[in-house]
Amino acid sequence: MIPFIAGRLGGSLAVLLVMSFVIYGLIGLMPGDPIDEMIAANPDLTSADVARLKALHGLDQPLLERYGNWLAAAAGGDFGYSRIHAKPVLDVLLPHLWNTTLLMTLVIVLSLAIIVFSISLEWLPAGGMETVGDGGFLDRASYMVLPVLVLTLNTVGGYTRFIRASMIQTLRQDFIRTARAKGMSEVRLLLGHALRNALLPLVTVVALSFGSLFSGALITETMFAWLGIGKMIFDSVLGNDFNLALVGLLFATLMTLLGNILADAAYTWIDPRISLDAGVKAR
Amino acid sequence: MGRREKLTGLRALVCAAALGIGGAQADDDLVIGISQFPGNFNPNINAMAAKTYILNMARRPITVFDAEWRLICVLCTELPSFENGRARPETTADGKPGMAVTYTLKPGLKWADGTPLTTQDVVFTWQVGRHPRSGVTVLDFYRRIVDIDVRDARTFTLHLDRRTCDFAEINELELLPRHLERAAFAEPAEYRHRSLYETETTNPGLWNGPYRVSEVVSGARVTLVPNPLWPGKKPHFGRITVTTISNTAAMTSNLLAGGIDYVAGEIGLTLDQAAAFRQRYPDRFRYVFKKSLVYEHIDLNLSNPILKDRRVRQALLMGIDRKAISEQLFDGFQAVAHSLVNPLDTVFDPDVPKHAHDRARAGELLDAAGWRRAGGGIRRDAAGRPMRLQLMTTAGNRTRELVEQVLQSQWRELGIDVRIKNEPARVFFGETVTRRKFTGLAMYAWLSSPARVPRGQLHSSMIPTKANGWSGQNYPGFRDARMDETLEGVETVCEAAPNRALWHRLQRIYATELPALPLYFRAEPHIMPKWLAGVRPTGHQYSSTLWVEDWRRDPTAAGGTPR
Amino acid sequence: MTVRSGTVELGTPGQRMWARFQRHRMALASGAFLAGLVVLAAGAPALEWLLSVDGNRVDLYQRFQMPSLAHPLGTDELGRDLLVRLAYGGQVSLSVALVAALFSAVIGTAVGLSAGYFGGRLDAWLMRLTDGVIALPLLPLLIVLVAVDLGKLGLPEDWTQSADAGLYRIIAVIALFGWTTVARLVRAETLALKTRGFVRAAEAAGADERMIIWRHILPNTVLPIIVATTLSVGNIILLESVLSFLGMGIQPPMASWGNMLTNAQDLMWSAPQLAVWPGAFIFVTVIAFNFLGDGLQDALDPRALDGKGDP
Repeated sequence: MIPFIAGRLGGSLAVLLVMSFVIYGLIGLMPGDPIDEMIAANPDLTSADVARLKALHGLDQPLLERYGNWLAAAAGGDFGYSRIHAKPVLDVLLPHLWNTTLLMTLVIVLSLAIIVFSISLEWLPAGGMETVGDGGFLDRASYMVLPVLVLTLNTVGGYTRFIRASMIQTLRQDFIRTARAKGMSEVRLLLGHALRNALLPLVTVVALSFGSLFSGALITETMFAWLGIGKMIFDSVLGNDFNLALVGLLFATLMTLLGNILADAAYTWIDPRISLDAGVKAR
Repeated sequence: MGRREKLTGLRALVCAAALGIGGAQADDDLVIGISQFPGNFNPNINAMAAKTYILNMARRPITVFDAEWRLICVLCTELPSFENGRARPETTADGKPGMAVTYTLKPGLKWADGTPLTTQDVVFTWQVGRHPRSGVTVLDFYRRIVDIDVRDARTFTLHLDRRTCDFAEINELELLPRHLERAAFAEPAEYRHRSLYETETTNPGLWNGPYRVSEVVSGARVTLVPNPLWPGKKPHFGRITVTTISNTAAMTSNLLAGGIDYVAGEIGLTLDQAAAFRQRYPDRFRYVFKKSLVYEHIDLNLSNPILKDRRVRQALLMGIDRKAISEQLFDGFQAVAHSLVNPLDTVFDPDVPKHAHDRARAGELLDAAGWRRAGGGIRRDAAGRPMRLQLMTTAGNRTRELVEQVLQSQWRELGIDVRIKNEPARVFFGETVTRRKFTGLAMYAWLSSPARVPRGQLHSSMIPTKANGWSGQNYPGFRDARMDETLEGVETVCEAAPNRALWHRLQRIYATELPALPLYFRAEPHIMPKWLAGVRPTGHQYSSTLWVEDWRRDPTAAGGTPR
Repeated sequence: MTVRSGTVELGTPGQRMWARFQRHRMALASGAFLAGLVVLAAGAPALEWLLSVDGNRVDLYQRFQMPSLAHPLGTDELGRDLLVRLAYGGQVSLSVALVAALFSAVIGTAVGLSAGYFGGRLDAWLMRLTDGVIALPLLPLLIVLVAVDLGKLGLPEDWTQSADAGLYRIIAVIALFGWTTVARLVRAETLALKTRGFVRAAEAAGADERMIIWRHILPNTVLPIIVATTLSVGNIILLESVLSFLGMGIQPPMASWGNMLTNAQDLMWSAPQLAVWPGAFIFVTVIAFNFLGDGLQDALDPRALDGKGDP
């Protein structure tokens, strides 16, 4: 297991490096810049101003060279200043990250709690939740209630359907019938045997939402004016705030990668027969 | 107060709930809602409406346009003029016509840390402003000041490198406290990061207005408290909190719940959102819809063979019912524009040619231009080509998308096939408009200041091309010798009567030649509590908060008149 | 494989599937409902003719009309018939949702099966690719894509200016980025199935790899695929409106349920019906797709006829 995780971490670093280049390139390739938007709205601004301001932000340099400089500085631990916020990147990123992590952790934990709870009650609600929130605050002190509720409802719906599908499949398998025939109690049967086998898709989906812990939920954050990282990344990308957007996105990428490594590790725990390192062997 | 403490406790509990909305219970508190949070706080770097709105409570300019759109002194004693001898023509070092203008600062001005505000601060600001690496947004203003003579601690003379009629206007000179900012400017290229406005925003020494910034919660709110050293009128409110809520529904529900008192018109809701809110709660709040300088229009690409013909441009304008759009979509609060000069502007010409909705006349013009209609379909020229134009605007701007669908439908009835293609703002402004890549019509707006000469938009030397590095904002590609001559006259003939005549001529040429289709001037929708008195919306880029010391709680003002 | 022998043989496999599907009443009702929606969407021009209205013609003096004979559901914020707009919106939303969901499912299944079954280096590469796509920031990519001038790619101008171009672009974008969940789900199932007795047995019996994947692995991964795909339908309908909001997709005055809902958001107080109708259509459509998914699961799962163990 340890060599597997070590190998995967190495691979993840490579992915991260490639992604940093792709993200940098994408932001750089986006036509226009906030400075261009300023010129159309402000008759005082001349194109000489535009050229000067772009040079100030290094936008006149070739993309590859800028990326190289960024990478070298970032490798040395210097992530630079956020262009929009005129502050060091981490000073902007960390508070937003904390907000998002708090929100999303609560959502995932709550969703899972609801699932486990409803399974032990043998009560599985049909999924397909769609919530159209209009953002009204029920209570001033309860800022979190609504966003958590909206996101949780959404998540529970999905999780539930995955569980239901695989439970149905698992419960039809012979070992369950055998257990049942031997008189095992339904709850023990469900939680002890069936659920474990039905976990595979759930683990996959939860691992995927692990990444969203750190990439945020843009629409919900905007709707409820939650200062999370989703909105921050959105704004920084639109604002050509390379430094902030890169660090934010790369961190989210890293977390997605870690989430998927954990999921792979969890597969082998759920079903010890699964082997990850080997390809197809002798036929 | 007990309730506020409890709220604070709860807030600590859900500590990441950074969206702090203080209650508006205490008598001397005012909570204002705006829709954006300032990206930074240095007044010279990055012009941004949200920032100006907040900073105008805590800093004051030397001169500014007031709510009647007249230029006034704020920190100075009197405006320079030829009559009072404070303005005189001179010749610059390189032999061009220049000017010298003299200002005297009012006595007793201080930064809120007690340091006197002097001409040294003016000189320092100028040095920062003209430095190419300091990151100041509009360099041209500081660059045209070639030298400053310091007469004494309060009096200074600016030497300008040009002789134009707007010489007295130094609204953009955003004073910086030399005693605090000098160290940050030691390395000019790093100034925009090291400025105390960014690193220590609550330092009292940065502020010289009736209020100073006392707390900044990034992304959520800015709190201001009175500055006891402000020599002018004492402000009424003991604390003003400016809260950012970017979602409309959240904004209105906070307003209803009392979480915020007042939605600023400068940067709050859009007009149609405010109008819808007003229909629902007509009596609970006081609504002020102030006509503003934001000019919404459609640039026509005059290189397009269809649009080259003036008759087609006039027909396009007469084919649309702007009055009905204004009345039906904006409750009549957005005035129809007839040229680019606002009716509230002192140089406005009331007799400017107006193109009222007249579909029959528009049809005749199109027929005359060779676009004929066979059976009710799309018009075609002699060669059988359809009359097809592309209409573009910023994607995701709901108001503009509504308007463009109305226009498209009305032009379709005239036999013109208009196709809509919207783009994200940054693509639209970054490429399509600024590089003249739009093939037909481009709808957008700009905010100007009163009596601003539209040289950049209308002079034939201002057409962006690859050769001139895409400089200039004459996006339609308008070339008219009379217009060029009029623009030059308006800038340099400063006596009131001839200047006004030139302005009228400018508007007439514009409204006849129609390089762009004027749509309307936007209005700022202010939604305020009935007890709030003294707010005077301006309608231009210098926000109402420049007169925040006049705002007060007046329970007797409850019956205030709408509009 | 004992199950199969126990099944009563009733006609062709297709008929048997149909029989199993029919036992799922909600699925049957959902199927009928979705069919009705398709008819409504396809019949939009007929509806226009019947009501003698033009779905794109703006009438500023007929805004926010209440339901009447002329306008069965009333009119929208520009005086257009709401029912006709909903029907046209259905064309966009349903076709985008269905086609994009199917394409993502196909891509995701192919990637997941190959990664899971062949494992090793192929698995590593495909999964790193998946990680990359999951992490790829959609926003800048979309903005770059908006600026790509389709005309320069040699496509005729008439086509690039037409409404269809935007539609195809949306479908392509969603399909290209939406397959990752299915890929990871299928891979996980495949990893587990590979170790099962019947796959081992088939391998031992010298069955062809393609045959094993097609016959033994794929049918058993169908459940998560169906769940993920039916769940994604709702997201896709809303994603379409986000893309159009960015200018990357359909252009006004074309309607979709998503953009009708988004546009009505500001009018929640003054004209709630404008949000309620598209909202309800999306909501019911998503639910119907999920029930349909349940029915399909049972229909495609041969063991379902045993009927046992359904909790």
